[in-house]
Amino acid sequence: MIPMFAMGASDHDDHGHDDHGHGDHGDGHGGHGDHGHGEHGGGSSWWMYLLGFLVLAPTLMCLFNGVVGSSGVSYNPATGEYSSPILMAIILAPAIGAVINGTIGQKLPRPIVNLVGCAAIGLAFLFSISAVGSLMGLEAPAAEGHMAHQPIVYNAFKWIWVGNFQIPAKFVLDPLSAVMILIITGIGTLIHIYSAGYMSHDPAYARFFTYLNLFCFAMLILVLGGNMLLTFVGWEGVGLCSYLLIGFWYTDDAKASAGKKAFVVNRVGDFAFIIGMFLIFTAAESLDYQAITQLATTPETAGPLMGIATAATIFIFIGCTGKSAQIPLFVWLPDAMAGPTPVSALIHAATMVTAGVYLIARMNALFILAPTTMWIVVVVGGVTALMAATIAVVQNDIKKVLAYSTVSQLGYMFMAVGSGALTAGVFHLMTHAFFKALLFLGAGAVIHGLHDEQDIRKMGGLRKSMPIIHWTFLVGCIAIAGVPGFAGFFSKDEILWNVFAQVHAGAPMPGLHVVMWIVGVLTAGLTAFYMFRLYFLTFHGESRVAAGVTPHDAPAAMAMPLIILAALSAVGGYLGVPHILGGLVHWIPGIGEAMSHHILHTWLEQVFTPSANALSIRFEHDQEVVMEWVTMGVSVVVALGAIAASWMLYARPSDVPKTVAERASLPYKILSNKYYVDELYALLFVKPTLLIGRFFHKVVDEVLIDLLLVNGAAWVMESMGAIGKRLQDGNVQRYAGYVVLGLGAIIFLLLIK
Amino acid sequence: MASETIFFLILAFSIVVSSLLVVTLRNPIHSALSLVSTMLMMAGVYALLNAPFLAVIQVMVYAGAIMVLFLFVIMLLNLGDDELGERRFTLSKFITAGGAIFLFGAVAFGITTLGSGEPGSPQTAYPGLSRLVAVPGADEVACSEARAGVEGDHCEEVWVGGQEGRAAGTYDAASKTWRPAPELARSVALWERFGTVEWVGRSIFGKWVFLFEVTGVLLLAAVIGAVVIAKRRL
Amino acid sequence: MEGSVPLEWYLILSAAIFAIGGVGVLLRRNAIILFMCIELMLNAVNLTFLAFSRYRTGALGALDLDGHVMSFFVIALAAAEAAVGLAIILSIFRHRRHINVDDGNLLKN
Repeated sequence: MIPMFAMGASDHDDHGHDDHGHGDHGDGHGGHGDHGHGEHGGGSSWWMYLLGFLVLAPTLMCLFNGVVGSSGVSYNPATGEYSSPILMAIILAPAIGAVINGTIGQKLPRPIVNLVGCAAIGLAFLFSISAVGSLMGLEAPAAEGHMAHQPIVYNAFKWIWVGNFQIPAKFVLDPLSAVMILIITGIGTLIHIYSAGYMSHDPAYARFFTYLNLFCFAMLILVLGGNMLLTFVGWEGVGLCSYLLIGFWYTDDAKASAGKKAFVVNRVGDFAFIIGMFLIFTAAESLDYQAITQLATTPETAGPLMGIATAATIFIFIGCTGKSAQIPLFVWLPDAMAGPTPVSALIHAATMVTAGVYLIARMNALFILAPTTMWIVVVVGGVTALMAATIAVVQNDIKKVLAYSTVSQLGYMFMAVGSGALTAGVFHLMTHAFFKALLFLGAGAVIHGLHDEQDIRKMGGLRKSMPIIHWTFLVGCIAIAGVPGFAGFFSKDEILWNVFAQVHAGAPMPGLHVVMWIVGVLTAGLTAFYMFRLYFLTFHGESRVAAGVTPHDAPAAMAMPLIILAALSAVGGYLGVPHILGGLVHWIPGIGEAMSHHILHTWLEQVFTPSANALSIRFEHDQEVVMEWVTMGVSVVVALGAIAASWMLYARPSDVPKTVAERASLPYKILSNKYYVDELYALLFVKPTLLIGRFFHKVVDEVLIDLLLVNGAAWVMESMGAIGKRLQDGNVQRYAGYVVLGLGAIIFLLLIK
Repeated sequence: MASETIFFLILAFSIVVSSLLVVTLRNPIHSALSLVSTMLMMAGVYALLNAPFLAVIQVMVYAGAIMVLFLFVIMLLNLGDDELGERRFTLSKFITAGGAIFLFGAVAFGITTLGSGEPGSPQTAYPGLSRLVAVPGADEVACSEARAGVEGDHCEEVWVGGQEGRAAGTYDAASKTWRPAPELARSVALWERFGTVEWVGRSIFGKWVFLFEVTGVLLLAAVIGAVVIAKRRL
Repeated sequence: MEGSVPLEWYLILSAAIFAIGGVGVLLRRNAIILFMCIELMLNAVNLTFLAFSRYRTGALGALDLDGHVMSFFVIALAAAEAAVGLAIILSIFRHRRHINVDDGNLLKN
């Protein structure tokens, strides 16, 4: 497929492109095709092997090709931009999969549907690797220790072209969107493969894969879109797919309602997003990210943006709270667990819910102009993180725990981006995508293996019957808990350190950041506690599995993604090794040198504005190094302590949890009822809405519209008809007479004019 | 008073009277006969208008064929006196008749007042009759096949883009006015050819040949339609 | 050869015939007379065409026979109309034994 796109590029632009390095790799498949998948448990059906072949062989090929070759990238000297149709290929691959499965999927046999669904996103992954490889190759001169890459821009077509409101369908691959598309397509591929196993008993598998592919399509538009409106298209698209997938089993009323709830709550945020766009357009006269960043970072032109920055960013942040489940719009995410578990993993943990973080990172130049918004983001993120973590402690549904955990972790990311530590936010976004997808998939595998049992009180002791799930889940728990060496440790620690270091970086309210740091540490402890509570209750202790259910381990299709994700959760953090720990990994042969720096930070800082980077932390002073050691130590101690506590409470038979619940019945009740937020919203919004609705139904609709307007109009027409029907008596001559009269009137009017 | 005027007045008066008879006579046969006389006198007016071909057609087709058809049908139906119905005058009929008369008055008024608008008078702003008979604007003027009627005569090659054809005369580009050569306008050759079979035929089979063919189709359809409708049983 | 009769006179005559025909169409109930009135109106139109054709030719100094052609077509059309119309009258008469138009309310219901 790579040579094909190279040809497309030469059609597209015939000067300045270099198409060396591809075109002769087409026969490179065979060599790598037949290893790499069989070891994850045999017994899979034939299509698994085919898929493994299809994915792995070209992966290596594309890796090579992407790094060495150029994946059809061409240079346009007129605009000074690099362009490649491969961006379209990335986006369209899942769309094509969705179209195929959505139209003829029901008629196709199940393996074909699985294959189409997985291949669509798998291809997108390959293209992404190739494109990101090309992006790495487009290095521009930069200062020592920094990187600069030319973004790859693809203008697909003119979308909206009205006066000075010109919106092209423009896709941009820069370091930030590169990270995002690798997460989306990479984890997306794993989850698609997993879904093939998970949905193996569901008759509506074609619909499922259609939605899943459609989701990936929308999500890719969201992150690759070069302007806010295009992002909004993806934003709405993922919202739609989220709705469709939460209510996937729509015959269940509760699940359909959960879908509706997610949709409606998201609308609130989307509304704010739109207003934010309006504001930005009035000031910047453009919705293009590059243009906005350009305007905002140039002191001479930032004036109009300054005026609206606070308002616009607050509105955009409200949009983010809707999509990323923050206070006050987080209520939909726990309910969203009604969808199939792979959906929870892909949409409601790894990708869609992080769109808000992505958006703020994308628009960092504007957010930097609005310090007020920044501390609002920090506070909202911190409060959400703590609140969701406390709720998670008392949940008994395995997916609900993970859902609240997700809300909490998203709060973490907002704390990071709100502190100006954009790299840390995106870093945590990435590691969280690894381990939370892993945890959800593990939970899904448990649910699958127990025949749709989700209550952890009816689990226990599963580590023997589900060894693969057990070990991978444990890795996920360790990662999220922040045990040193695993992915979560690096990203979470970076966030905590950045929040704390704001005090030194001259933040307007130092006290606030100290409080937020304490909140963060507390949340980290709670996270470790509830995750290991979940782990111990599920996999240790006595088996409380209902009689008649034989737990079984994950089948191959589900085990393979679990293992890969577990590996990523374990090592993913080494992309962002903090400076002070750099020496610790230095010894690793080959890559140790590179890893001793914060790779992700170097990669991402070029997209973030210099002012944003000014807020992120420098490591020059010894004092700060000491501080960093201290904060890191505190968070590690808290995490380990929390793990120990949950081991004491839940790994062995213990009366303490029950006693605590009884002693502190009021807090317990509040927590298990999720702070009564749903009830509060019902009282504040739903009831009044229903009342208004009833008013409109009874008074406006039945009286005003039905009686007065509809029947009234009919009555008026009828009365007029009674007069008119005397005129219309069927006598042709009289009709002709009317014509003559009218003609006479016209002529008369012309004459007297 | 010129002979044309005398003939015109006599014919006009007779036509109005006989057409009034067409409308007012109760018996269809009487009406039809009045119509025949109207048609014949109309043919006379056509002749006054230098339209010999149309005058002949009028006599042959209208007064001949069509009126025979009418009379034939009237005879065929052979309506009795009671079947002719009573004369009923209703209010609405008066109103419609009044409307029609009003219409005539308005048109006549318009023709007499607006039509002869002098240049510069307020009426000229109104596109009245004078415009219709007047020389077309410079945009329309050009030499055309109509010029064939005045062979050898002077024709400025004024081709301003209209499809009206060419005309003999001179075109003053400065004032953008077209002056027909006066000797041509009154030339014997022009009026010898005007309205004759040959030159009407040239126009029909030249410029209007497509319309002519369409009319042929129309007549065919009418023939078939008439047969189909009038037949007792299909 | 420009006439001594002004164009307006022809037009007024035409309007008069047209109006008389129109009154007939509006007032007479006998379908055949109705048709005859329509023929009157068509003739009025023909008269207008011919008059304009002549006066225009005079003004142009070039032949303009379009009006004649139109009159020719109107006559052809009148023939067709008479044939079909009278056929319709015949079949209506067969059906209803009279040809009064104001008894009919065919357009109603």
